[in-house]
Amino acid sequence: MKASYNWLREYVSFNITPNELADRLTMAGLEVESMQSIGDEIKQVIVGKVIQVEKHPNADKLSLCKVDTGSEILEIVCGAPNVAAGQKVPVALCGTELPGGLKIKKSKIRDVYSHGMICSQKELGLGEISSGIMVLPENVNIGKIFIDEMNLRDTILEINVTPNRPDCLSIIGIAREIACILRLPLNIPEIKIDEEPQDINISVTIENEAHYLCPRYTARVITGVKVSPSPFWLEQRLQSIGIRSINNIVDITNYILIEWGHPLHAFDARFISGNTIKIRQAKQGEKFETLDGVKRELTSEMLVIADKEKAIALAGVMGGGNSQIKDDTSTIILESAYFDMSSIRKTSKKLDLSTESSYRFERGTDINGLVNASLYASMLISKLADGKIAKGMIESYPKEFKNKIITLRPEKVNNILGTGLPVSEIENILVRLNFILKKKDKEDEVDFIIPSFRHDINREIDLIEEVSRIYGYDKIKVHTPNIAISSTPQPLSVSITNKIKNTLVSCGMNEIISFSFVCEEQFNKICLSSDDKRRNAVKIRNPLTPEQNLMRTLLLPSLLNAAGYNFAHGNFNLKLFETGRVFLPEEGFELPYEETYLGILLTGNFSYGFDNTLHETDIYDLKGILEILTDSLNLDKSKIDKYSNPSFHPNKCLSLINSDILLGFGGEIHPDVLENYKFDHPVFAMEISIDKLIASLSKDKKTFKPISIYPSIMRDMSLIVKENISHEELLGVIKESEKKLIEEIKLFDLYKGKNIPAGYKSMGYRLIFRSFDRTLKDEEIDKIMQKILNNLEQKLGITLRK
Amino acid sequence: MANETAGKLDEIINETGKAIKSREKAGKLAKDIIDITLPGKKNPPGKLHPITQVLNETIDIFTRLGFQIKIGPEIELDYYNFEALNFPPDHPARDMQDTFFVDDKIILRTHTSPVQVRTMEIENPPLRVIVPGKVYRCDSDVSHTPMFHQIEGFMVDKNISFTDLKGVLELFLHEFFGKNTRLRFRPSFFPFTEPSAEIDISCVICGGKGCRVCKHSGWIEILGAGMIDPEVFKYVKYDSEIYTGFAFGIGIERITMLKFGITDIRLFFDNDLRFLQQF
Repeated sequence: MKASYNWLREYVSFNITPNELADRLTMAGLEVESMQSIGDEIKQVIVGKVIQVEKHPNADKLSLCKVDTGSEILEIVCGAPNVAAGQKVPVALCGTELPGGLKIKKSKIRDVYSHGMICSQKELGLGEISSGIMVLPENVNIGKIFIDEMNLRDTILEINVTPNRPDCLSIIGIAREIACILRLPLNIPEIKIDEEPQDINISVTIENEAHYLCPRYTARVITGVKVSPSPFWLEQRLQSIGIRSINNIVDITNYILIEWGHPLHAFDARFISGNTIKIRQAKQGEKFETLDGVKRELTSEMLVIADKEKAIALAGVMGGGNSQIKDDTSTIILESAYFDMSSIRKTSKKLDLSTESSYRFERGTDINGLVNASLYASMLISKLADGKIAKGMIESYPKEFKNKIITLRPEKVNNILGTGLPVSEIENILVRLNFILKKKDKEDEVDFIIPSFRHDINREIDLIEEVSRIYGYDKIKVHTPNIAISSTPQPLSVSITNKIKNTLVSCGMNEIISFSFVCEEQFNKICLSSDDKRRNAVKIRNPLTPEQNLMRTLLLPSLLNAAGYNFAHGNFNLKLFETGRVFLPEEGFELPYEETYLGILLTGNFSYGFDNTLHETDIYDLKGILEILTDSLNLDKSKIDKYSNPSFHPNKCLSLINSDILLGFGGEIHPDVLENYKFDHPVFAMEISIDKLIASLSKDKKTFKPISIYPSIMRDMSLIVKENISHEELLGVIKESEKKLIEEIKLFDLYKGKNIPAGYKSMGYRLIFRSFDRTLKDEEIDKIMQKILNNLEQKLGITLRK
Repeated sequence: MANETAGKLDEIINETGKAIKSREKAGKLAKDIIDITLPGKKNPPGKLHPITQVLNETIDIFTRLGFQIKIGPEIELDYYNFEALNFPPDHPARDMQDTFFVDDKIILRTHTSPVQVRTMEIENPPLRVIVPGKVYRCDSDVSHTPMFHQIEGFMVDKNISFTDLKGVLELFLHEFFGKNTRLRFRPSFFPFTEPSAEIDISCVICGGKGCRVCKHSGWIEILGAGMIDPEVFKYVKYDSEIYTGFAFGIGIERITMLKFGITDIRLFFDNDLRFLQQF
């Protein structure tokens, strides 16, 4: 809501600056979001008097004017047809810059020098009129600053009015708050109208068929209206808060809307058939063209204002093109009504049509205030458009509004706020807010009658809020609560996720966070098979973009998108992870199952320090991270196994399993998927269910194993192994050969190629032997080594590399 | 005499030998030079996302004050997100939060507040709870993303008043932004709290003198809070004559941006390594 400082001052005579006013309003709950000074751009323009007008010697349409600027007489060339001697006018002297960047200079126009410019409203940024210069009233002083003489210096406050306070969507509403805050009276002018003898009932009747949606409807009839441009003050007022001037009648209804907060509507009586205003629900499928020229199809729950034949307005939202005010309108029917809030909102939402009018009606207008709004508008129409007001007001108001009465316990005020306010201060604040105090017999309770414009006050707590707001939050003390000490553990989902994150960070991985949205195209890109149940995703009805219309069922697309973004920005070496929920619809449940997943992505080259060769990421880097993770979480029953999934390379895909439960899978991204993403490096990724992982966590405590005090013996062996024999098989044979003394077996070399026969690989192992009860001798280890080698040869055909 | 001389000679030879050796050693050491400016050798650790870092810091402060963590669904029933939080159907208050809809009854939660209701439905006071999590609103520009993070906090007991709300939030904001941070509580409106407040802190960039970040006001809006509305208690069958409580909601992206001086919220979700590694 935009409010003019000057306009507000007409209703409350306060003496504080715009800045102070903004601060006081903000601290009372009417947050001033921004302020704009008006008039600053044209503060150099002065008032001049045209003392002589002659025709320009070389141009028919130009005049040569002598203008008195108070200090000198200037010759100015003027093109406006309305310039005449004796006028007081705004003059931009040489050196002045006007809104829009026009700089006034001494210039030659058709061989005659012009020493300045006489300005039109448009040139001053004060309106649309550009057909002639602006002629000022007689009482302005020559040579003085134009904006000061015309009282145009103003500040516009942009106020954020919260949805509970529709009563502040008007100048008078805000003025009422200011009056309360500053303890000043609110000056509402007396409204006086001269009614014609002709009775209104002769010209119009109302038929209200839907009084539950329109509890009150009033209309006044004004005849002999002359539609014309608005006077400068009215145009200026509207312009200052961003409303374009149309004509005097439309401007007056807009002016009342802003000043009184009550939307009015003016119909041209010529187009009302049968002189009847009918308030009814729309017919299902009824067609109606609103003022904005849009043809709309209505539904039966919408309320329309109609005549005998047709709808003439979409009640409370927008008028119809068929009855709008035209230049030759002479009789108008002025509607001032109260509509049901939720009905207006439904209509506005359904038609996607929000107007200044619907905005106020759906928040709640003042059912009692609408009479004065209509009167004040009639008065202005009679003044500014020569209208003659018919006697009386026709009205449909079947059930009179009753003010709410709310009981307040001052003790409760202090309990909620933690204050010690005396009863008198509480009462004083509420009375200043126009709540009417009714003392009761009970000492500890007070009743308040709530004015009709306060829709938000329905309960004791609402009154308590009012007290706190006006008293001032800054005056309420700071206190730390007294509360019993208690201890509850963090949920495992939080603590385990944190542990996983910290482990991965120490492995050199960077955490990413992606939006939870995906789209079907992404499922296709990762080659998700057509019957994969993760294609069944929760769909968003109103996504921001079609690419964000599904809630993710897996993290892989998010990981690959993050990699793609980084590749596009020159970051090719990535170790990324993300934890987040996936959303899995479940038969028979209203809400999807939300499962927390961990996603890992590796790609590119890494090195340890500067004198080492680059290591290109491979599948074993991924496996290494899994091993660190399962070790740090003490997942001692976990196993990494071969797996198969269309997103991954058929031979480089693995799963993490714990006691037969699949915790997750991943591997090298399938070349088809890489192609879909236009990636040209290998990428490795994995997804693990954190929820399943938490469920598999071992309840066993770690227990201490003794450490041997005897020295160890170390032996290395280099083996020629058939390619299809796995490390695990080989280990099995070694462990089988010696069950007691082997402390550690470590693979230190794996090699294929030169000097190794085709179909074979060379594997180097280091074995460490140690006993718990004695120092081992070389001879016994020699024997064991021989046994191991024999077994390897017999069982797996493995030989020592020569 | 001869012995004495021989002894002395031995000593001299010995000394000389030692001297030569130590000179040799010194020479060797002197040649063994390094470039101290070369980078150290390491497998550098990664970084937690800045949002996670700030979430952790925030959670840490509140758990030290005895708050316990609760979580709830991101795809939520209208009932928990709006209705039980006193947003009536067809009420303009619903316009305060641009909502993603799944259908008429199911939405993406627009705040972490539904977990208030979910918690109070199954637990009795006294309660001190924080709820970290993702929330969704259909909005996207320099200061809005369709997904972001919030921490909801609430406390319910006998005799909790507005002064306690001020006390707890002052503790938090002083810990997070520093002891010299000034606070400003001003009235606002949320359907599920009454009285409601918006809390501003003195601008962390200019200290309150006025700058671009605080729009020359000297204040930065930091969180919303208030006393839990009795209507919400009605939904969870708490007696508002016995219990009172307060609730607050903190936007994590906002305080992270202030903490690190980040100017575009979208950077958080681009996941550019050059961004992630800075924090």
